[in-house]
Formats: sequence, C-alpha cells, structure tokens
Amino acid sequence: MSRQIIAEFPFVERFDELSAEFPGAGLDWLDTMRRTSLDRFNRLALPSTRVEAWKYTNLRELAKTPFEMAEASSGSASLDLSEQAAMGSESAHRLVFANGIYNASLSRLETLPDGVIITNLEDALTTHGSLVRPHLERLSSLEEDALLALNTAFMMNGYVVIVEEGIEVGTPIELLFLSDPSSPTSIHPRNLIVAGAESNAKLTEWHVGSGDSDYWSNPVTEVVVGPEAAVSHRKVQRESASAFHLAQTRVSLAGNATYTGFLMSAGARLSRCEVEARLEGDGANCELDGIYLARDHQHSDITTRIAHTEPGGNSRQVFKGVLDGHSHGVFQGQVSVSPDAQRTDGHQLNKTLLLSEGAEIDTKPELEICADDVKCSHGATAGQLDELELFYLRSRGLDAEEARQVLIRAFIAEVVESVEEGDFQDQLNTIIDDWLSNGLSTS
Amino acid sequence: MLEIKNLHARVDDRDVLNGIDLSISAGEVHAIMGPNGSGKSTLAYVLAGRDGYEVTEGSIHYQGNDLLDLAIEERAREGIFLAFQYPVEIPGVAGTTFLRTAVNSLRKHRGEKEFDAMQFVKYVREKQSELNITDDMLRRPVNVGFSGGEKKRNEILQMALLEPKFAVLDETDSGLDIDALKTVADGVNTLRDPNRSMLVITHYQRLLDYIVPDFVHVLAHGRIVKSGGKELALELEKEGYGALTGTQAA
Repeated sequence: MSRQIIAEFPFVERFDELSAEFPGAGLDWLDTMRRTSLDRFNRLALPSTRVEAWKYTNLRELAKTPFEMAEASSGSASLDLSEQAAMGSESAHRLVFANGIYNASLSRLETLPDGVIITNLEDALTTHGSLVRPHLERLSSLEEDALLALNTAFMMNGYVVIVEEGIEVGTPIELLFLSDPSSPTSIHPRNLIVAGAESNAKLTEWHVGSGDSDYWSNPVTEVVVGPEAAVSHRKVQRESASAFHLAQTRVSLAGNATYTGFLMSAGARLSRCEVEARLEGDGANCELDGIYLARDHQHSDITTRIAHTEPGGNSRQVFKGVLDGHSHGVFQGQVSVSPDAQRTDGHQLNKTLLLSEGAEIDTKPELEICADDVKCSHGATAGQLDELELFYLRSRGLDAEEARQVLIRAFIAEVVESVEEGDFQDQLNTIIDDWLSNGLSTS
Repeated sequence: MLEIKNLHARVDDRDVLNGIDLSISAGEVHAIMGPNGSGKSTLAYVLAGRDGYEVTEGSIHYQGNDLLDLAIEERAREGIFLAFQYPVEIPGVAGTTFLRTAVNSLRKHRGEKEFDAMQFVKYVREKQSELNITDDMLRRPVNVGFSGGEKKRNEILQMALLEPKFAVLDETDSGLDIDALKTVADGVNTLRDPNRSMLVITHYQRLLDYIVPDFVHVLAHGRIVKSGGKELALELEKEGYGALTGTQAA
C-alpha cells in the first residue's frame, strides 16, 4: 500500500478554468502562490493510512467522490438553513458563507469600532492586501501538507478578522458556513484572525449542512495572537450526514497571549478537526476543550498539536467523546516541549464513552519533552456506562433511556461547563439534547 | 402486599437463593437476618430487578401482580424502593436534579403534575431537615464525597420523597456510628405507615433496637431457616447464627 491516495477530482483538473473566478484573481503573488500549491498538492496527493498522522482516518471514500467546485450562483440557496439552525445570538457581528460563497444579505456587521476589520477574504485582498498577504504566504510556504496546499490553491472566500493593538471587540463575532449543494461539491474556505497586542476578540464558527447534501468542506484558519492578547475561538461542526469535513486551525501565540479554543464536533460522515497551536512567546496560554459525538457509521477525528517553544507556557486540553452505533472516534494529541521551553505546564485529558459494541476509539496521546523543568501530564480512558449507576437511577423510577441520557450528560458536563454561561452554553446543551433524542443503542 | 414463593435465584452461575417463602402484609415491618453470604443482598436485588440476578424458580407477587414481569423502573413506579447497602456515586449529576427527575418520573406515572424547580425545593425542604441533610449536600453530585452516614441519610431522604409502598432497606446500618444510626432509624420510623411495608435486612440485631420489626426471619444458605417475632433477634444475638445455620457465624 502506498503512502498516497491518488484522486482525480474534477475540480482539480479544472484549475485553469476556475482560477479566473477565485478571490484575488489577477494578483500576481496570489496567482503564483495558488499555482505552486496546486503543484504541491499534485505531487503530495492525499495521505493514505500508511502516513502516521493519518493512520486512523481513511480518505479513500473521499478520494472516490467526483467533487466539483461551488458555482457563484449557489451562494443564495441557504436562507432556510440559517433559520433552521438557530445559531448564534441576535447582537453578534455575523458573516455568512453559503456553499463557500460570501452571502452579503445574510451577513450583518454592526458599527465596528476603529481598529477592527471584520470582512471576507475577497474584500480583504482588495482593501487590506498588505495586511493579509504576509500571513497567507507564511502559512502556505510552511510545510508539506496536501490538504493545506489544496486549500491554498483553491481558496475561496472566508473570513478575515483583524483587531489592532489594545482594542477589545466587545460584541461576539459569528461566522456561519452553511452548506446544501445538490451535487458533490468541494468548499475551501480560508480564514484569518489577527489579534494585535493586548487586544481581545471572541469568535464562534458554525459549520452546518442540511440533510444529506454531499460535499467536502476543507477550511483552513490561521490565528495569530499578539502579545498579551486574548482570543476565544469556538467552533461547532454539524455538517450534513453525507459530508466530509477536514479542517485545520493553525494558531501562533506571542508572549502572555491566550488562545481559548472550543470544539463541538457532531456532524459529517467523516470529520477531522485539526488544531495546531505554537506557543512562541514567554508565558503563552492555550486552552483547548472539546466534545465529539458520533453514531451510525460516522468517523470523528480530533487531532491537536501543541508546541511549546518558549519558557513558561501553559496548555490545557480536555476532550470528551460519546460514540454510539458503529462510529469510530480518533483522538491524537501531541504536546511537544522544546529545550528552551522551561517551566512549561502542559496537561491533556481524553475520555470516551462507548455506548455500543460496534463503537470504537483510537486515542493516541504523544508527549515529546526536551526540557527538564516542566510539568506535563496526559490521560486517556475509554469506557462504558456504569451498570450499577444505571441500575441506581432506574431503581428510582427513571426509565432506561432517561438513565442513559442522565449519565451521558453528566459525562460531558465538565466540558460544557468550561464554556462561560450564556447563549453558547445553552446552544451546546441543545445540540447535546438533540443528539440524545435521536435515540441511543439499547445494548 | 408481597408474596414470595419458593424463590430460587442465581448470580454468576451460582445458586444463591434456594427456595424462599415469605409473605408480607400492608403496614408490616419484617427483618431478615443472616450471616454474610446467606443471600440477603441477593434477595434485595432480585426484588429491585437488578440485571444478572436471575430467578430460576418460584414467584414474587406484589399487590397481586407478577413482580418479575416488571422492569426495574416499573417496579420503582409501582412503589418498590431499595435503600442500597452501598449507595452509588454519580459524578456530574447534581443531587437536586437527580431527586427531582426521580420524583417527577413517579408523579408522571401516577398522573400527577410534575414539580418545577421551585415547587421541588419546597417539597424537599420539609423532608431534608429531619434527616439533617444540608442544601450543600443536595447541590453536590449524587453521593460523591459523602461520608457513610451521609450516603445512608441520602437513601432515606429518597425514600421519604418517593413515598414507596414497599421498601427494602439493605444493611442500612452498616458503616454507621450510633448517632448516625439513630438519625437514620428515626427517619425510617417516621415513614412507618399502615399502608407501607418494609423489609429490613441486617447482619446485626442493633438496628432492630431502633427499627422494631413485627417479624424476624433468619436466612441461611438461601433459605429462611427460622421465623419469629422481634424476640428472635435477641435470641440470635445471644446464640449466634451458628446454632441455627449449622455453621460458624461469619
């Protein structure tokens, strides 16, 4: 078996034709970058399970699907979706992307304070090109990653949030990615968050699909957190039951910067949410928490890489999953501590509840510590609902289903409560209730 | 109210109950005493319906119906209550939430209106002070970090809230000092009622000084080997189980 999966995606073969319509088409530096990335993708191809980082997540089904690219006209079809999904709050700034295409009429930008840019990538390339370019170029040249290269070659729209030094964006920012294409479509959003020194911003991404829509969402998000700045970045993945969701978030943190990431992964046929955080300044803080829920034949992969390269950094991760049916969960958590990163404090916890015989979890914590004065820990458990706890609850009158739901909620409560009380926590509880009410295995 | 006939039960491929006959009428308190391993707790679990406790022969009728046909929660809703020997800790579930869910599932079953959070607090408040249960205990996750006495008091609180018709108290005295024992016994005595029967399972006679039974049965090798009035407990205390069971007391 090869380390590559060769796919012949129609949209990749139509690059020349499609590229005229891409955001920023005609900008030399960008055209070159796209072309270079396309070559790189064609050279690398999709990783097979022979590649260690992809050992547990197989892209073969993805590679067989004849994906096209979204047409500009398909960006209008998603009004129903945004209503159904009941996402977000009334008062937030909101950017909406329908099938990857920016939808101005569904978006809503309240008056922005000076020093805050919230816009879509296409507009940002025109009006703030010099701010955006170095970030796109840096990430794109960084490494040999097929999916990142593909995203760069085909990057469509996406959001750009830039907050200048010392500015606090009080109002939350919501980014909605709604998808309901009628034929297999690939979507490659490219997002950028830049928080200047001592600034503060809160963002929530929703990735939502309708019904059985067949699509592949391949978003790449770059997050740059400046000295003493704080970014809260939440994401909800509820893609359609036929969708593929392969997301990468690349975070870099300066001295005393704080990144608080939260992930709820409940949708898609196959998903991988990859978060890489590099703590590149003294005393940087990174907190990542998340929940994954999967049933039937869903595949849900959470992959995190935390790199401590400077002294005094803190990282905390708590991920909990509930797997039912024949679903397959993957948790890969890598924490690396460079020789210079003394006094690093890094902790990671992964717990999975398996509700059925057929459910499966592969969990792989990985610590690479090259400094001597550090506190690092990791833990991983997988288990079933406790028979005695179920008996106790039922002996008090709760039926079997209710008793299971109580214990499942209790299992993930810690992660839900890591989010501050308010709209988002309520929405998480609604998602969990929805998931539970869809019926659990009785075994 | 409860009619057990020739009950045989098996746990983990081992025969534990070997033909129990026991009849309990409304309002009566029966005590079951016996050495370790005699089948006391198995009887309690069989009555509550725990999985893995397989009835191989005999019958249990409760209020005229076949109890063994009912699921665990159906038994609870029909008024059967088991106070656990080892109350189960449930991390992540707040005590009040647990109690309210339990009480409401019974109220729903009886066709009564479910309590909202405010009504429930009021309902609990009346019962919790008698059992010396603080608000803090109810806020904490069910039984997590509770002392032995707190756990047992919490069981009796549940009994008071769920108002069962037939309660099984499985070694409710185990692990309690004398003060805690008195509190628990007082709680149980308050719940004695002409319409409520109880089966008190204990290893020691001590508990029966406080919860005075109408009848005492001695269980050995999964059978009732002797029955009598409350004086039988005292006799046992003096003679030990050995004389009755043909073995040395554990």
